Amino acid sequence: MKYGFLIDHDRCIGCHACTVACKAENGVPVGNFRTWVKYLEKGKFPEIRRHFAVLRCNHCDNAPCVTICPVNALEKRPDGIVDIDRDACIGCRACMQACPYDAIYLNEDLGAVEKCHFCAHRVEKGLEPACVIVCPEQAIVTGDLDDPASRISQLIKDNRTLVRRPEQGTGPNVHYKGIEPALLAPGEPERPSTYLWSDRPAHKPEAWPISLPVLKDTRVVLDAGHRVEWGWPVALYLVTKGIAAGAGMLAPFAAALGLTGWAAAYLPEILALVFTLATVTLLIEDLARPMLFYRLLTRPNWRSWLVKGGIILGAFGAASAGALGLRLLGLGGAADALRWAEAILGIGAAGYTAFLFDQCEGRDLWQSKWLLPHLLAQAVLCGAVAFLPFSGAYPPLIMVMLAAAVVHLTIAAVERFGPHETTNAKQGAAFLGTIRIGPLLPWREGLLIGGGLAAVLAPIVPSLAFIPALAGLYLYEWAYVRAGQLPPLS
Amino acid sequence: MRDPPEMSVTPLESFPPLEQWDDWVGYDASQWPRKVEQRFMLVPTTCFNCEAACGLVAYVDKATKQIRKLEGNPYHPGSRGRNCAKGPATLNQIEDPDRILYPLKRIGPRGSGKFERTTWDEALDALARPIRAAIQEGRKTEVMYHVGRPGHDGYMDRVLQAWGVDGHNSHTNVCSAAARVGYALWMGADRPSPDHANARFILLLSSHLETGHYFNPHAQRIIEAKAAGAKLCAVDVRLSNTASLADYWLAPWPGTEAMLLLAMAHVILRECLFDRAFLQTWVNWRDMLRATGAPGGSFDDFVRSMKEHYAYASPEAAAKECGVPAEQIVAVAREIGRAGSRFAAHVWRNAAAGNLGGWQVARCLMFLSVLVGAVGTPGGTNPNTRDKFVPPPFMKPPPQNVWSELLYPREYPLAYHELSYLLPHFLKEGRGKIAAYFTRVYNPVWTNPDGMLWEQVLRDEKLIGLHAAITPTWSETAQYADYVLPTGLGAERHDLMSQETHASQWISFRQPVLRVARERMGEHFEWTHQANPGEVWEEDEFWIALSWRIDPDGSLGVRKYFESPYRPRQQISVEEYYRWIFEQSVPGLPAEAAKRNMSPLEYMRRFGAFLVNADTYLGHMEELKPAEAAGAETDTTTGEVRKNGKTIGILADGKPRAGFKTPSRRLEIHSQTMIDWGWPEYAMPAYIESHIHRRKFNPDKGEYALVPTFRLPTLIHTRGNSKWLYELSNANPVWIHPEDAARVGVELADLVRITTDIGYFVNKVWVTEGMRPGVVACSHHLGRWRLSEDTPTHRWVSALVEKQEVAPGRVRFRRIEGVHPYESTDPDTRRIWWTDGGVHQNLTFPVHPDPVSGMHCWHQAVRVERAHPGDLYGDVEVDTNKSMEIYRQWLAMTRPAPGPGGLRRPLWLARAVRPTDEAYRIDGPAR
Repeated sequence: MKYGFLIDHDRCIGCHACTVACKAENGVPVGNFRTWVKYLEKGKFPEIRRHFAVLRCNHCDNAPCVTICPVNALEKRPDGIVDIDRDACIGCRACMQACPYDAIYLNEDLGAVEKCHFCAHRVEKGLEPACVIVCPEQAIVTGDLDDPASRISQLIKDNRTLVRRPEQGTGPNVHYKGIEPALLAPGEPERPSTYLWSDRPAHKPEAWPISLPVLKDTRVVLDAGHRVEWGWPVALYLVTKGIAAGAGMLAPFAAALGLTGWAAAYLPEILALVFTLATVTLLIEDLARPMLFYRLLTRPNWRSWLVKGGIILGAFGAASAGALGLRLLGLGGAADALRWAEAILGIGAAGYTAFLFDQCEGRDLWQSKWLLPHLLAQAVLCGAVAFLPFSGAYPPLIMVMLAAAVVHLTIAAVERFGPHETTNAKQGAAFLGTIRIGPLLPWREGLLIGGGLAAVLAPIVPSLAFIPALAGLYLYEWAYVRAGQLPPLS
Repeated sequence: MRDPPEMSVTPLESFPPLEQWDDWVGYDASQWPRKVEQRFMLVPTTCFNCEAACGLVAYVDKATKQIRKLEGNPYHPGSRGRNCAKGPATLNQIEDPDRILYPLKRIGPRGSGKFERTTWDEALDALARPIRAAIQEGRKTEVMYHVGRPGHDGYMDRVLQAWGVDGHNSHTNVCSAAARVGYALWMGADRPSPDHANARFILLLSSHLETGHYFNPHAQRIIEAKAAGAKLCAVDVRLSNTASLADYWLAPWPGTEAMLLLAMAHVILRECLFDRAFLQTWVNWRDMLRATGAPGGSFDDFVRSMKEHYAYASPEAAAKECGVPAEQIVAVAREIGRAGSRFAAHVWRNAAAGNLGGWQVARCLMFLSVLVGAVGTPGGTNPNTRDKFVPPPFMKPPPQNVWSELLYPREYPLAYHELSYLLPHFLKEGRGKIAAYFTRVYNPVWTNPDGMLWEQVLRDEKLIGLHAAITPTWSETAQYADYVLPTGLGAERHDLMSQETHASQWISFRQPVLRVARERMGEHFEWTHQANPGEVWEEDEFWIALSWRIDPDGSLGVRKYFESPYRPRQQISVEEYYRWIFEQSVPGLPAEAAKRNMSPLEYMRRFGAFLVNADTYLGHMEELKPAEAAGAETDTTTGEVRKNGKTIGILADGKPRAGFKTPSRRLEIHSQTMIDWGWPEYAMPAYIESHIHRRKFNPDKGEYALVPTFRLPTLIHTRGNSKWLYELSNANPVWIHPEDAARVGVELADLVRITTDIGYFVNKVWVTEGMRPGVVACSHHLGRWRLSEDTPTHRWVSALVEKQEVAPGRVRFRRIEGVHPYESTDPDTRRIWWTDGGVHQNLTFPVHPDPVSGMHCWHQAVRVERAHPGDLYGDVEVDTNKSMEIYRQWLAMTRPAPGPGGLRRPLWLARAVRPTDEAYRIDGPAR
C-alpha cells in the first residue's frame, strides 16, 4: 500500500482551488502553503505560453525529513503517507533543511512544522484529500502506487511522467504528467523581483547571482515564498562549538603549544565547558519550542545526527568536566589521560555537524565531502586563537594556527570555486560570493578577516588575534549557512 | 509512537455518503494526528462569489454551531461537486474580522464615514417612509434598487413590481451589455450557452479557463472536450491562462476582433464550409436579399451576395487590420468548418465590453456559429433561455405602468439594459432625482468609470434623498450611505438560481446553513437573522419586512404580495416563499421528492439543487402547440407560419416549429430592427472601428491602448474579503511588452504615469512577452482604498488614502500607507506579508457609452510615460470637469427614440423588469 499523487498538467488550469481548499481543510496560516501553484512563462510574443505546476510534499520513499527529525515527529506510515505529529515536534526545523522540495513550513502559532499529510485525517475516514475533490478538472489523482491496477498506476504506466529532483534519491511519490520540465528545475528560470499579479515574498531578497546560467525566455511569474529558517544562531553555534571542540582537540598538547601554569592545567577545559554550554544554549534557544528540548533524550531518533550530535556534545562536555574535576582533585595524571578522550570527543563535536548537514538533502552546498575536514580545521583554528592570549607568540601554536587557517581558506575557496555536482550546490556556491550584509560581503570579508588579518596579527599581537579570527569565522559561517538555504527547491 | 493507522479501503470516496450528512464524523484536522472526532451537519448551499451559482456544502460543527469549511456539492448538476478557489474561500468572508455585523446609521455629513449602530426596526421605518410617500404620490421612478451581483432569479423583480415602481438598476452596462445586443439581434436570447463538453472546436473571446462566470462549470467542460480531442482557440490581447492552454492564441489589436471573426466567416463562405440546409431553413436570408436589393431570390443568390458583402474581410485584409497572420485566421476558420455543428463559442465581456461597437464582436462571433449550423446542437451554442429555468413564484404582480428615463433614457432605445453608470450624469443634468436609493452588493464609486462623479452625486442629498447600502462588507460606496445594512453571505441567506452552464436546466438553492443545521438539530427560528452572526439579515426577509412597513394596512395593494399563500393575511416567511415554488413551479421536483418520502422543500434543503431538464438541444425545432398553430397560415415558399400579422413559427421538416425569439422567428443575419431604429448601416454583422483603433496611436509619442478589463483567477470584484485569495493575488501592475517598456524607458517594477482623458494613475510595470506590443493592460481587480479606519474596507488589500480636492472638481488620491500587518481577532492579519494591494484605475476613466448597446466601452486611449518627479505609487488624479464633457461627446453619437410606433424601445427586445406595453410608448407614463 503506497498512496501517491499524480498531477495531470494536461488538465490543470492553474486556478489555485487546490491551494485554497487545502488552507480551508487544514487551517494553514497566511504566508504558508501545503500545496501551491507555481506559474512559469516560456517563449516570446506571440509564441509564449504560461505553464503551471502544483507543488507539495512528495511523500518520499526515503523521506529525508523523517530521517533527520530528532524526535520522531515525522513518520512514514505503512500506507505511504509521510505524516507529522505536531505535538511531538520541538521546532528545530531540521526537516525543512532535509526536505529537497520546500514542502515544510513552521506554524508559528504552534511552534511546530506542518506540511501536506495527504489529508490523512480524511483518508482514515475514507475520503480523498481536499485538493482532490475541489479540483474543477480532476487533475489531481490519488491512489495506491503499489497496485498496478489502480488508476494512478495505469496513468503512470501509459504516460510520460516526471518527478521532482530525482537526483536527490528520495523516491518521490508525486508524479507529474504533461508538465513543462523547466517548472521542475528550481532556480534555472529567471526570477523577477515581482510577480504578474502578486508581490514576491521578501524572504530571500538577495539578487540572483549573475554567474549562474538562466534558461532563455523562461521565467517564474508566480510562486510561493519560503523562509530561510536557520540564521545567526546556527552560524554562531558553529563558532562556539568550534572553540569548545578546538580547545578539547588541543588539550592534550596544551603544554607543547606554549600554555603554562594554570592555563596549561585548566584553560582547555574551561573553554570547552563554557563554549559547549553556549553551544547548547544556542541550540535550545533556536528551537521554536525550547522548553521541549529534553525530547531529544526522551524520544530520540537514532538515525538523526541531531540526536547523535547531542550525545557527542554531551559526552564531550562530560569528558571536559571530568578532566577538570580530576585535576581539581589533584589527579593530574588521570586528567592528562582523560584529555585524550576529550580530544577524540572534540573531533566528534567539531565534525558531527558534517554528518548532520549531509542529512540536509535540501542543501546540496552543505552536503560536501569537504565539510568534515573544514569543520575540523575551523575547530583547530578556534582552539588555537583561544589559546594565543595565554601563550604569547609561541611559535608552535602560531604554526598550528596558521596551518589551520590555510586549510580553512583553501577549503573555503574550493567550496566557492571548485566543482559541484548538482545545480543546487552550484547555486549555493554562487550565493556564497554574492550575499551581503549591508556593504559587507560576509563570505569574502569573513575569510579576509578571519584568515588573513588573524594570521597577520597572531605573531604581532597574539592576545588580540582571536577577535578577527572568531569574528571572521562568524561572518563566514553566516554566509555559508544562509547561502546553503537560498537556492530555491521548488 | 502512535498506533498503526486504521486503514480504510481504497479507492477513497469524494464525499461523505448522503445518509450520513446529518451526522458525519470526521477527525479534527487541527488536532491531527490526535484522533479527535468532530460531528458535522452537512448542509448544501450555493456559492455567491460569482454568478455561476456553483454548489457548496457547508460543514457545520454540531458542537460549536459554526461553519467549519465549505466543500462542493456533488448533487449540483452545474458544478458537480467541484469548485474554484472562490468557493472554499467563502469561509474567509464569513470569518472576516472587519465584516459588518450590525445595521449602521450615518452620523455627521454624508460621506464623512462616521456611523453608529442602529436597529433594523429604525432602519426599516426610515426606509419605508420615503418609499411609501413616493408610491402614494405617484413618483414611481424615485425608488431605485441598484444591484451589482444579483445572486437570485426574479425575487427583486417581484418586489419592485409589487411596489409598482420602475426602479431596477443593474451593473449590466459595465459588463455584458454589448454582448447581449450582439446575441439578441441574432436569436432574441441575449446570452450564449455553449455546449463545450461535446464540442470539437471551441472559440473563446473570453478567459473561461480562469475567470468570469461561468468559469468553474465551463472550465470543467472545456477541458473535458480537450481531453476528448477538441481544439481550443482563445482570442485575447494578453496571455491569459486560457490562452496558454489553447491550441491557437490570437492576440489581435484590441478593437479589431469583429474584423478577425468576419475574416473567418469570409473563409467559411469562400470555401463553402457552411451548413447549407441549416442556413436555408433557419436564417432570414430572404429578408437580406429583399432589403439589400441583391439580384435573384434563391439561396444561392444569398450565398453569392454574402460572399460579395464580406469580400472586404479577406484573411489578408484582416491580417493587416488585426495584426494576426492570415494563415492562422484560415486555419481557425477551417477548424470551425470541420467542427460543423460541434463548434462552441463564447464572448461575454472581453472585446465586446472594451470597444465602441463591441456589440458587433458578439454578433460576428455568433455569425460563425450560425454559418456552420452550430446553434442548439450538441457541441454547439444554445440560446441561454434553453438552458436556464426560472420557476415563477406565487402571485405575480402586474407589470409597472411607468417608465424611468433614469434607467432607460430615450437616447439608448436598444441598450441592454439600464444605463446604470450614467446615473450620476443624468442626475447632474437634472433628468430626475431619487427619493430612496438602494445599492445592493454594488460598489459604483470603485467599480464604475468616473467614480468621483458618483461620489459628488452620492453626497448630494437633494439628488439622492436616502441611500441604503446593503452589503456584507465595507466598500468604497458604503462610505456614502445613510444606512449600511449587513446582509448574509453565500451561506447565510436564501436564494434560488439557475444558470446556463451547459446543455441542461437546473436550479440551485442557496440556504442559510446555520439556520438549517440548527433546525435539523431541533431548534426553531422565525427569522434567519436569529441564526446568523450578529444581526445579519437575509435580504428576502428584509424586503418582506420593508414591504409590510410600506403598506402596513394593505391599502396600497403592496402587502398582499407579501402575505403567506398558506396562512391568509399573515406575513409570508421566506421558507413559505420557496416552499410554494418547489411545490408548484418546478416540473418533476414534487415527484422526485415523493420518491424519497420528502416534501419538495425538504428535497431542496437536502440536495441543494435539482436537475429540471437534461434535454435542451434544438429548442427552435420544438413544434408549435396546437393552440398556437390554430388559425395560423403557412407560406410554403418561405416557411413562415403567420398569425395575426406576426410570424409565430417556421415550417421545418414538414412541421410548424417555434424557431427563435426574433421577429422573423429565424436567426437574423439581417435586422430590420436596426434599420427601423436608425442604424441601417448595421443591419448586418459588421466591423465597427473602435474608439481605440490603432491609427489613433503613436507609440513613439507614448500613446497606447489600455486594456483595463482583465480579471484575476482568484478574485471576486469587491465583495470578496478573503485572505486566502488576496495572498495569491495582491497587485495589478501594468502589463507592457519589452519593446514598449524600452520605448517608455522603464524596466520591471518601475513606475509609470498613465494619463487618460480625465486624469492619471501611477502604477508599476510588469514587463512581459505575454502582451501584444503597442498595447498595455491592467487588471481591474485590485486597487481598493479606504479613507479612514472607521470604514475599514478590505484591509487585507486596501491602501489608506488621502483624498484631496486640489482644485475645484480636481481630486487627488495619495496613499498614506499600503497594506501592512495589523492586530485583529484573526492571527493571520499579523502575517500579511504583501504590501502592494494594487492601484485603482477606473476613477480615471471617463464614461464611454456605446450609442447602440449602451455598454461602457472600457478600453482607454492613454499616454504612458515614466512617472514624473514627485509621483508616488498609487497616485490617482481626476478632473471631473472634463468627465461631463466627454460624456456629452459620446451622448451626441446616439440616435434617440422614438422608433416605429412611437416606442421607446422595440417591444421584442428584452427589458429588465418589463413594464406594460403602454409604458413603452414615448408619450406613455414616464418621467
